[in-house]
Amino acid sequence: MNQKIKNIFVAGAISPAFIGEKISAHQSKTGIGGHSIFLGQVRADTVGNKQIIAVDYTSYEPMALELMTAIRETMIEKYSLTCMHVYHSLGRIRSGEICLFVFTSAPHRKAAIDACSETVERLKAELPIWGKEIFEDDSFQWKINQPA
Amino acid sequence: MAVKIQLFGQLKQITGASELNSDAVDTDGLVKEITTRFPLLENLNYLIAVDRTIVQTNTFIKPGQELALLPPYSGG
Repeated sequence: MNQKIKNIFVAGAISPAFIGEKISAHQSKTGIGGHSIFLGQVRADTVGNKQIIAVDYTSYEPMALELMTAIRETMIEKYSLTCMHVYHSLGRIRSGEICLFVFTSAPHRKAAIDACSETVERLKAELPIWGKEIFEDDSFQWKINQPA
Repeated sequence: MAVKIQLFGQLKQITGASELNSDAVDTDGLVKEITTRFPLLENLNYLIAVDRTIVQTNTFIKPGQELALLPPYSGG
């Protein structure tokens, strides 16, 4: 693997301002015709009679970053992307906050949309990241990812 | 020669440790040893990574290798 390992991890929630800045940073890349963005948000599920108020994210970071670098390389080549950015939160993210930001850009929309969608699926299935769902009374359960 | 094993997620919670030492010579031996020390792990699913790569079959452990036990992922 020749490509430099890029850090995707952000301490805490991903702010709407950060997302806005990343979009605006692409205005100079005028070969782009379409961006696709996926934002993951922490859901306040109710389990029994308790509500989830936050998710604590942890990761085996070096392995996750190596795998993500390889996924990124594959996606850029497969879909001829102009660029691609991925950010994932670590630490406690409250319900309603953004914990995942996948941003793909290409000359045409289909490549950007397909690459974004495939990246989200692969990232959820392949990266060693764990979410601990915290309830209002401080009890917790380990998050299980849904098929889609 | 002891190797260090990193634990994550539910495995870290159950064992109360983010790192363990083991004298196991291969990954099957490691699972046996860990399960004896922490019987609660017997019914848990996890993968073993050697030097950041998942191993699916019994694998010899060499000194200095980076080992990790990984419960099912739930990122995103």
